Amino acid sequence: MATEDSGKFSPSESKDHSSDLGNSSPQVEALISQLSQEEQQDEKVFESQDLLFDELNTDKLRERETEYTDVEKHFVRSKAWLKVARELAPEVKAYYGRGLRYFTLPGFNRLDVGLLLRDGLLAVDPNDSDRVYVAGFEADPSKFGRISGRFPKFKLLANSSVESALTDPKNRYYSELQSLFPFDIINLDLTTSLTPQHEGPYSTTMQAINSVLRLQAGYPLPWALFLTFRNVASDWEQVALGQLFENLQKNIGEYPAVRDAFYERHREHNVENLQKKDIKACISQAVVKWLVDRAHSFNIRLKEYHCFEYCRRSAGLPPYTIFKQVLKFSQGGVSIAIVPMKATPRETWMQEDLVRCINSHKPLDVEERILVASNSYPKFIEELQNDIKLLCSMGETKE
Amino acid sequence: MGNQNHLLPPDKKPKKQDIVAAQKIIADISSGVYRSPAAALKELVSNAYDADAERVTITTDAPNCRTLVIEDNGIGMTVKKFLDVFTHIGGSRKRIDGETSEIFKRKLIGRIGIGMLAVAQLGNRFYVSSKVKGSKTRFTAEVNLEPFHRDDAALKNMAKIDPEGKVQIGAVRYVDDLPEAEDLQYTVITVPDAKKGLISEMTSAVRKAVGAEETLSIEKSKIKSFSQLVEIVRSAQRADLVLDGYYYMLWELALLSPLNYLPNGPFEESHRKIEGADKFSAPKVESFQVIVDGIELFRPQLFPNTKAFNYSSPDPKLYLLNYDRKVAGRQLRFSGYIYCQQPRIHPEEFKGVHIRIRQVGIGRYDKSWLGYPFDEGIKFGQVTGEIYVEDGLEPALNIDRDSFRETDVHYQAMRAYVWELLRKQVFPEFKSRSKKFREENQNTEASKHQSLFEEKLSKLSAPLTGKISFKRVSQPTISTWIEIDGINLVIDKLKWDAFSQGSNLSGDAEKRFFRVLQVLISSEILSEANPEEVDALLEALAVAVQD
Repeated sequence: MATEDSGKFSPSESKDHSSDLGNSSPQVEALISQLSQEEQQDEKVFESQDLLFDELNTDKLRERETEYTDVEKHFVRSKAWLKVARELAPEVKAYYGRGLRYFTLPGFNRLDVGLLLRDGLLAVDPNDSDRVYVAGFEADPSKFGRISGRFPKFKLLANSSVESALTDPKNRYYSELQSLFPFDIINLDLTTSLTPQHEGPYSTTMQAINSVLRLQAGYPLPWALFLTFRNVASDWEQVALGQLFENLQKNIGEYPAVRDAFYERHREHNVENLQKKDIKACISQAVVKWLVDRAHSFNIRLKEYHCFEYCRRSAGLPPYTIFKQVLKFSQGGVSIAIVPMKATPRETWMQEDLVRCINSHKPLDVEERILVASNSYPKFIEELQNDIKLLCSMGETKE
Repeated sequence: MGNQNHLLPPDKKPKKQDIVAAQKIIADISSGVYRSPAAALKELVSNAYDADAERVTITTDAPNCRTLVIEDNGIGMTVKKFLDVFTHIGGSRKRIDGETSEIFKRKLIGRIGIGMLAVAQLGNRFYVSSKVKGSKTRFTAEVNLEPFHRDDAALKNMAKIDPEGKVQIGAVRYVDDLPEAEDLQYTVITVPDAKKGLISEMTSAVRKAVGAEETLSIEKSKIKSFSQLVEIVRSAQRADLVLDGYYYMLWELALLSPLNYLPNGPFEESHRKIEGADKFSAPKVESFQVIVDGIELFRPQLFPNTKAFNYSSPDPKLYLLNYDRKVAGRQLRFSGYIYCQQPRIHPEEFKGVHIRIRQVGIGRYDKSWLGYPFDEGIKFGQVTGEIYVEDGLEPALNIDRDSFRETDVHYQAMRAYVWELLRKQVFPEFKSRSKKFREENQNTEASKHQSLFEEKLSKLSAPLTGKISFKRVSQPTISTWIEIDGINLVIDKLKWDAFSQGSNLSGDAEKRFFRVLQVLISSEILSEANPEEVDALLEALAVAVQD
């Protein structure tokens, strides 16, 4: 303040604002904390951490590029997945007044999404009418880049492995994904085994599946899980495989109905024999049994189950078998006669589920089915191929 | 005389010292030199334009803005060309094949090598995949560029300098021969983990932290078309006050990219006539779109701004620029316009002049008009302009491609042309047009006022609606020097001159005096008074109407 006497500015009388500036608001502090995370980003780059190409198998990458054109895969898409979606949609519409919420690993051409879109089955994002309620995952940044330009946009398109987004709280999509649950269809169209060799027995893929079931728990309407995996015994982590077989065998030993169903279905008395006779069938059966067990732990019951298989033959690579499991779940009933304790109470429907997952384990040989269909209708394959082309062109421009 | 230097003994020769640049300079450039996200994205759009792309699609996962994807359907790159770009950073490989693109014969505008470094500003790690038409394969590459903005990083890098003096700024890993449809062509750049600083800018995190709120925020609302955004900005004082970081990025990218104006832009005459607009022909960009998250961008200029729609002022005026001559042996050719309006230009960002080289915007508007050396007062804020450079000036571009080296002769010549036009024509005419408008306005107002006066006068009992004349009066009727002749008033000239001088009446005061007098006579208020009493009244009236 200037004084009348001197007319000069007196610093001692001025208000000291420096302390005010030193104490930032909580909002600014939070901002600085966020900005400071750039240091970790820099470190990652500087130390060459988390490089996608470190783990890249170039042969597998090339192999994946051609998968979408498989007529076998499209057969499952259009005859099985779409059928289930059509079955689920009316109930969802009646209960919530919306379309289906869909979780997928879409690939560049988003053929599965295109199928559902074409039938008008997908829900629209309530906050943005230009988006469909789809959560899509693509780990390959280049492919992610190409998908992201297509229409309609997804509620969430994440450049991340689906396993990480489902299980790792540090994953940048983790919270957002959790908030999007529950879904009506979850399509885990994986290209590997459920327990890759380099992971421990309880792989991130299996943990991710467990997370899916946990997050779907309590959903009042029927919903579906589509699970695809490579069924090649040598790909699997052997301890995990042993545990899955053991678990199946234990149930066979414990429940006569399960034992009878197992024999009826596989014509073998135990898992070991089935393993020797048909390792692929044994793996598939053990996987679906594990899925049903995990579902039970979240009070989810199996309503319906179908299985498909076909062989992929890529040029220059050994052929391998793909298994596609299609499971419909619903909320399980809770008995009021038993107080729940540490162990999950055994409900009668749980045993029925186990029997169902064995009785219905009839892997449909897709190649054979296509062959049979082509014999009676010669244009069958051509029509599947045309449909792939048509779906590939969907989404290139905004409609 | 020939060079004798080589004949001199070594101790007689001038001493020599090599000139070297510090590695930090290269490092700094590698970290990106672009002012804003839009300026960096512009470089990639320019590359796509040069690659004969018809569409560039930029996708963010807004409002989070964690990832960024830039895809174009241009001719693509082979892996060989891509690697060539990265092994020649800093040296443009673009012009080797000529000055125009292969298919659309577009004049080339970008620099691939530098453009790729623009991505480094968005994220230090990114992925590039490209496909050339006719090939059955594509490649995908992972680029890891070291974060050179950190001093310690630059220091660590010093140890990596090879004997040839090259500086390692990162690494590229790639996979080629990936199967792809033969008829496709594209380049896609993915930044999977955008820098926190970029995310902060795009999401307006700093603004939010201090409590700022914008009219258009991606978190709250999503526009359906770019014209919605332009209309919001058109009525705003500053674009950055009404747009959040994301929408400002869109707006600025639209300003900088080689795009067409909105169908009703840049001059829209539905609200206000614009003198000279009929002679303006907007430069056209053929077959090129930039689409960000589904919104097609257009150049955002749209004049007049909302406040000028009904503003009492001369109509806005357009001056066209046209220059085509050789300067220092090189052709300098440009066109453009200078647009003037009252009140001042809105938004603030459009004040000044914007230079475009081969359709690409260079930086933001230069509010100083290239450093115009005269003070034109408030008029300076009422002009805007664009210069479309077709030939020349490009060597004057600084490395950020966002500003000019002002000592360049083309830049100097352009300055001279623009300044002269402003000084000799635009501002003087602007001022004279304003003055003329004011006068015309005043005359119109006076005429309206006179009509109203006459209308009111005619409603009085003895309306004196005729003319007022000054001459010798032999038989004054009202006062000693005023006579009524029917509906006309006759004033004794000699006496009036003396009265007027004595009363010190100005022109306006005289008008008021006679109007009041006309009212008094027309209402017959003075009919009962004798001439001497009226003379006294007139003297009092003269004082009352004085300024």
